[in-house]
Amino acid sequence: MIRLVARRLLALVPLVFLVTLVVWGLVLVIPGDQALAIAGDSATPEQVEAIREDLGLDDPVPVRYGRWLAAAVQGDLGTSLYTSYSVTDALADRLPVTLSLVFVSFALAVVVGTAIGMLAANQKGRLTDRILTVTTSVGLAVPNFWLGLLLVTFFALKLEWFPSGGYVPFTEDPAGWLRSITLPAVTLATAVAAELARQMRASMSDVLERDFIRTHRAKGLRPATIVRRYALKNAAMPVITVAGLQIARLFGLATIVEIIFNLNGVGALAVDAVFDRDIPVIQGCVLLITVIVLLVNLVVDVSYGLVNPKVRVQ
Amino acid sequence: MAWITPVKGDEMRIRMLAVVMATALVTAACGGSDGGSTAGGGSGSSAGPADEDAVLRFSFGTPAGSNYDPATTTNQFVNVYLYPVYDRLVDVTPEGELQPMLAESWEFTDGDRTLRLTLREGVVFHDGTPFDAEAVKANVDRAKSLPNSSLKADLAAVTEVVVVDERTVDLRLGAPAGSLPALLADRAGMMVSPAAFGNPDLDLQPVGTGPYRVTEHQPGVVIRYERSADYWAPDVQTLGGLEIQMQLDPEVRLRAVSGGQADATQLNPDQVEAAEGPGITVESAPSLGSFTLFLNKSGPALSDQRVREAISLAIDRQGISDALQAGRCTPSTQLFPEDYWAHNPDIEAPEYDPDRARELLAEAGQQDLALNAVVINVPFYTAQLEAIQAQLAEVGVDLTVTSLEPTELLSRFVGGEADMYFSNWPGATDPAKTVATLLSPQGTLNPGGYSNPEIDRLAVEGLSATTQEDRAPSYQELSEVMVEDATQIVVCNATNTFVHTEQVSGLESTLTGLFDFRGVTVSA
Repeated sequence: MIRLVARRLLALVPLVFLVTLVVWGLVLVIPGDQALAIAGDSATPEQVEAIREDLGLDDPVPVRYGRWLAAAVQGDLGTSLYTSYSVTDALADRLPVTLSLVFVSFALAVVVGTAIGMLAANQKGRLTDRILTVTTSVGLAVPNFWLGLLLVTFFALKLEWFPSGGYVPFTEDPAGWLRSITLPAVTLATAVAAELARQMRASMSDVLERDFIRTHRAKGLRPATIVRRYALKNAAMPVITVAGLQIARLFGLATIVEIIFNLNGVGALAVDAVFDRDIPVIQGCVLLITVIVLLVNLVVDVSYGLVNPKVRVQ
Repeated sequence: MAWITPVKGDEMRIRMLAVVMATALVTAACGGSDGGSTAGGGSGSSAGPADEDAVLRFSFGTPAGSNYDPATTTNQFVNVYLYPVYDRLVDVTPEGELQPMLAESWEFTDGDRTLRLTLREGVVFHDGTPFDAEAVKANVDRAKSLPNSSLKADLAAVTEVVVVDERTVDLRLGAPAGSLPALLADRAGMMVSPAAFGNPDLDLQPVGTGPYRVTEHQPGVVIRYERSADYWAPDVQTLGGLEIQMQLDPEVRLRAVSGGQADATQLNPDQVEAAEGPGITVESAPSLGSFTLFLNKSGPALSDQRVREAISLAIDRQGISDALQAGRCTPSTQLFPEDYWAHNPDIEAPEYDPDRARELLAEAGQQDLALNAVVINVPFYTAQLEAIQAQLAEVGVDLTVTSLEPTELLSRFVGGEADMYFSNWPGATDPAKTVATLLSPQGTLNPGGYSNPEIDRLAVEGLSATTQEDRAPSYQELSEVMVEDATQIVVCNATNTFVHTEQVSGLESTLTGLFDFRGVTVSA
């Protein structure tokens, strides 16, 4: 097991390196002159040249990349182009918001999604199954920005159960944190829960038709025990694969939800940075999210091993 | 020639457009209440007694670039974040009257070649550095010499700063500088602690003499201030603290106020109906801002005055105001709104005359005219330009509309790639600044390098006098020349729309359409 983790971690190194190349390459692709952007419209050509020299923009591309990489490895991702705000600080300020949002949504989606999927599989073909299938289809189809606005209208503005936006840090007020994260998490979790429910239904109903389940049933085991002890482990594999992919998707969708609910997470930071052409910040956001997604994939791989002994043997 | 008491009845609306940024996502407007003016005036508020420890939570539409160093920031909306921390040498009321702030008085001497400031005594910066004539000199010298200073144009007339004694400082002038006292009521007059000049994070953690000091700043998210100790004007230090949340989306801002996460915010005029509700007060304040089509007057068509006038005649200003701004924008052809001292009362209200527009275009030989215009990618603005597009189509002008992000927008127009640029011109702290930006051959918003000797003459004349009374005729005449030559096409004069809860009172729009929280109270 430890060897599996170590192997996967090692495999990440060249991947992250490749990612840094692409992320850093953004500088070369994004149009516009950084020095000019900093200097402003009233700057003289000499001032622009001085800034260019200051930033080392005249050096050859590999030198600039090397310099950036050396600093990045030490946790220094540079500072914003326009202020003295360090990119590492910016990400540290924003990351807790995005992580709270994504992980609460994910937990919600897994619990609700698998429960619905299992129920539907057990009731396959009956009315409950049909209702749940329609519900999950709707859940998949609803655009999350629209759902978010609906939830705000009813639960925040009409009923006043939750705030309409803003983030309360967990360390400041755990109850307030939960209230602030609930609506965004529900918004974000809906599509993912629906996806997982469909996956679980398909996978579970497939497993439930297998011979060994029939044997267990013939032995007189209670249906609940069969599902919990035997069917779930077998049905979980494809669901875990899908769930792993969904985390990456959640980080992407979180950007929209962050903006709707005025949560200042990494996604919102990236959007602002793109508008401002604040390249170091864009690089920092992309790098951070990419590394997180890679790590999540690693965790998913490892969890295969936990669920399925066949993977460990490989 | 003391400048302390400005001319009565004149409304001087000053706005500093820091030249670089185009309209950000805020509806700009004007006004200008600052220290000196007392609390109260938040109409419709039925607030109880003020809570001295209350923290006002204000939601604002842009972090304004997050650089809060008055000398280097380039954003026109940044003053909202600077006012709480920084006092200015001169203050200006929402009506445009100049008033003492850190300078108790000022006068032009030596044949108008010196502006002498007499400073307030006993003022101390938040870091303990005393505020005196040396501090003023240090600030002006810094603003004139920093390589990335955005105040060089404002202070261009100042050739030397001479400390006369601890409380007296002379600004030696190398050019007519009638606008200088007004400019000292803006960023150029904001006094930074000289001991903090070297702070690497001065842009994020400002250090001034103002009623509030920064305790926490998360760039792009929120900035928090607490009451500063021993403030020299305790009567305007009416809050326990201040929190400014940064939120680009006007719908989200409105929801924050309705939902209780913020106490006040600024909106677009088209949100007024949605904003009205129990416990919420909607305010509309006159503004120096004007929704305007800026023109690149170097192109083959737009260099012809007849074409420019035809475009002006083809626009149904009232229709745009009614349909898209809830009628809260006054149709006009003048950049300077009514009641402002540079406004020319003799200019007639704009006409909507598509037939005459067609005739003029035919005279100019431009029946099949194709032009392109850029606008910020915010629905409130694009909708207005699209309305203009449809109206111009009626007279045979084919207008292509491109909506862009702020960074791209201005460079497109300034770089000469677009014929027109539609935005809300926010005005400037002094009309001289508006004229310089829009009409001087090097002006940022004059990409074609249009020049008009009559305008240049009046611009110098306007700077040569030193009282508002003496300067007004030059700018009124200038306004007339601008309208006659259609140097830009003003659609309507904007209002500043904002909302607050019933607990808030004293919140006013400043002269430049922003907000200063001096004298604002929140009741328990």
